[in-house]
Amino acid sequence: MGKESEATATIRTRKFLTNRLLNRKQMVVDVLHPNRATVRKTEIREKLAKMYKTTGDVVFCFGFRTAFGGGKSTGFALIYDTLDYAKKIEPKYRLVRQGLLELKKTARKQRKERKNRMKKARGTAKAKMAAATKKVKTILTIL
Amino acid sequence: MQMHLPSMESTMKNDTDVTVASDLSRGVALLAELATNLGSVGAGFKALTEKVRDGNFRTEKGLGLFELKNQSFLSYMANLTCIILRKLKGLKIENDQSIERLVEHRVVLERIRPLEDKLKYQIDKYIKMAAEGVVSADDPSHLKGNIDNIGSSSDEDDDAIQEQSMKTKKTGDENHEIYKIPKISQTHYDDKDNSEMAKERARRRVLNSSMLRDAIYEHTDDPEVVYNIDVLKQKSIRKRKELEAHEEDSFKRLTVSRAERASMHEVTTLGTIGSEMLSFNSLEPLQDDYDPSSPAVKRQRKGSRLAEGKKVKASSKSKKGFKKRRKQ
Repeated sequence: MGKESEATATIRTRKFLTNRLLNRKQMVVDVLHPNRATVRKTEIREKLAKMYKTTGDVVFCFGFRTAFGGGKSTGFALIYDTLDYAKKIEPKYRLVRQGLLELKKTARKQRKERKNRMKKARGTAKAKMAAATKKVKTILTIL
Repeated sequence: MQMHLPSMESTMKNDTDVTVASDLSRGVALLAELATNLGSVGAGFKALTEKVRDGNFRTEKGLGLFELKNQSFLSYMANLTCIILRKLKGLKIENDQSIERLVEHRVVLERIRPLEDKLKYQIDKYIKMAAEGVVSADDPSHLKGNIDNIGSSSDEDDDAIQEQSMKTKKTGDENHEIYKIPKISQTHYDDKDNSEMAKERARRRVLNSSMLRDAIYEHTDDPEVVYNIDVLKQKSIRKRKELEAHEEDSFKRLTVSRAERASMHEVTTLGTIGSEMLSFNSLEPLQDDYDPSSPAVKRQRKGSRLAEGKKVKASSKSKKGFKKRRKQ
């Protein structure tokens, strides 16, 4: 059972629009892939980057849905002017998907327990308690 | 009069080519007619020139429609006489400037005609008025509303007007009056017209239902029309297309609820016959005393809906998924 990654996939873009307000190009992407499973987003990114002569890291694609019967899938793609703009404008979950952002969150239970403990204190004591509880806080580390 | 003169021209032409005898008598009669008509035209002309000299025709406000018509008529006559004179003398009328002018005036007169037709009613009315000196009794402008009559009704049953009138009577000076919002008590809105529409709608629903259509089809001689399209499928296709278009325009995927997705899916299976085909409709809307808003009717409708298997949930939360996940 070998992967048929050699089979070609054709990418067509529709409804192309240059969004000057958000410094990006947005389009609807049609992928034709007969006799092949749905194409991975990374592959589509590379192909789009080649088509629009940019690097792959400013291309964000999402929302791919395969038509019934297979062979064709439709999704959206956004190509930013620079990576800075991309980091400012794209929602965090998409940045996480692409690996540009890491979101560390404490477990939900832990957060709720901490909140309940802080309810017992008042004023500056609350702040002390917050500092005292050496739990892992939400860190946003940007690679 | 314009009609006589061209025929005069043609008879003159024929005389020169064909033997004279048969047409001569006719020609003589026409000539006599010509003479009399010319006399009358001459008289009219004289009167007109008198008027012009007296200054009865003023063009300060521009040229009126009838002014234009009269002028072009006169010009037409003049040019026509010019050509006839030339013919009578035996000269050629080829490339004569009068002909061009004639054509121009003819076109103007023909263009004026539809405008005149549109104004016909007004013109006749005013002529009649001028002739009789008094507006006729049939004039519909008598039925126009009188603006002065608005607001001066003696029976004031509206609370607001009564209050205001009372206040003005008290103070007498309208400038120092504080404007107070009129207190109009709330009254029940009677939606009378809607029930008739609802009756009509219910009646049409029953008549167009498949049950009655099959029953009627047995007794009519109309040919059967077979449609090749499935209405339900078309509906679902259209809905899906609309959804797709919306998603692509707004660049996001919309969530479709489980129930909606199931309903969209079940239509695409082959051979689906919807509930519209298989249901029974009560024939009450066809009766005269049908009241669509009565509670008995509403209960009946709700009952039938439950029988079709559509579940009417009290709460909108679907706890199925969470419970399933929790168990796992």
